[in-house]
Amino acid sequence: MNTPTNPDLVARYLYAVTRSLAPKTRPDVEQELDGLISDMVSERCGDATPTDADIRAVLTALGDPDEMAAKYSPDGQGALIAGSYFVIYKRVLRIVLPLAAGLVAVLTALSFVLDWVQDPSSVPLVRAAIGQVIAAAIEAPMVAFAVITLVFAGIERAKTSSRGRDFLAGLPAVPKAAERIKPHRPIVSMAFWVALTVVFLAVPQVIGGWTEAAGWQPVFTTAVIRGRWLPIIAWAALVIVKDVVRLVDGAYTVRVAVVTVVANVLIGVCAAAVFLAEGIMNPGFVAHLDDFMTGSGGRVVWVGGEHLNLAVLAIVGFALAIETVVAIVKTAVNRVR
Amino acid sequence: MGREDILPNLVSEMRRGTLVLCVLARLGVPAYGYSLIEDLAGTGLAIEANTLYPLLRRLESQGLLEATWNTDGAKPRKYYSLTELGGQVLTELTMQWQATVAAMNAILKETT
Repeated sequence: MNTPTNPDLVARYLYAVTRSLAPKTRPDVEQELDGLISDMVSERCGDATPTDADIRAVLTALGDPDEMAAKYSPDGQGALIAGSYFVIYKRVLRIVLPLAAGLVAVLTALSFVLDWVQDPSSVPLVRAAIGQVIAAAIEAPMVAFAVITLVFAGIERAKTSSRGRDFLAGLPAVPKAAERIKPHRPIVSMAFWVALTVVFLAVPQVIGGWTEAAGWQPVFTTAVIRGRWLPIIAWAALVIVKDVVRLVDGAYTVRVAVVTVVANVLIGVCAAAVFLAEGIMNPGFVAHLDDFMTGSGGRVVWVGGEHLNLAVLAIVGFALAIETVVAIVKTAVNRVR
Repeated sequence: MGREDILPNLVSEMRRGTLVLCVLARLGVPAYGYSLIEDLAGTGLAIEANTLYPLLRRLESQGLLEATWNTDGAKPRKYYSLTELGGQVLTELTMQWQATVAAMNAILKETT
């Protein structure tokens, strides 16, 4: 709708209503509501040019865009996670749970193959091994379901407590296509971290390297890494919080930037708690590190001695720092625009 | 909570159940959302746009309504009309409604 007064406010309102709807229904709902707003403005103003106050009055009469979005998604009404967030919640679960289950099942099966290559007698009977693969494939989606539900419930609660405020003042800016966070990124990230968490805690030995001399060598000492279950789960939970906020906002908002900064600082603490643990790196892996790094193109020599854990921690810290800076810069650019 | 708080909630709750029947009953002839709001308001049944528009979409997804965009006018409009299934449901709901009204009238007659 092209009102000369405040078309941006209408665009923001339409974006706020439709952003959580299924992508295929968004354009249709947006066009229909745009026509409705145009009709309501026309009825209010007749032939006169609508003022800013007219637009605000019409949008206020239409009501809170979150409540409108919730009415477009009635199947979540009255639930722990309802309305507009329920659509996103369902989409996340539908993708993350099977992906996490599949990844964990494959990796658990792989761990048995690796163990069998090393020492056939250490592998349980086929029936028991299949049972363990199925158990791991059930455990991963259960963990993911619990964490994702808690995160969405927290966001839903925050939204509910902010109801009644001037919703027009809080309408989100409509991001340009390049500024939007593509929904598949946070969803895939969540599935990856859930699978990685379960692998770290259930079958950490699948992360490793193989040489003819030493056979398969896990990177981490299994008992030590399992002992650090709390920071590992907290790490995954923080990643999920970060990804859910990205998914809900769909763009680099101030909330995304704040959550990214806080979550990444806490993830850094969790990473330090994991990788600074005494004996975290498997001595067998560290001893053969040079062999693992020998490829057809030459040889990379590890000169860090037994401090491989510090190198891993530094890489994690670097990745977190890059992500934090990108989030801050993109948010700042959006706000300046 | 006083009478002035309780009564509007009860009235709203009672009317909510009648909305689908009202909408289906008026869509024997194709109409777009805003015209339907005005039409219903003219009969004395005001319905808010933020309730009607999602309801129309839900009835469309259930196969009770079909929708087509008309772009001939100055503004594109989405027209809704009853499907065959919608017509059958309307007939059933109308019968249920009449039975309910008859029962309610009998109950209220006894109490007044």
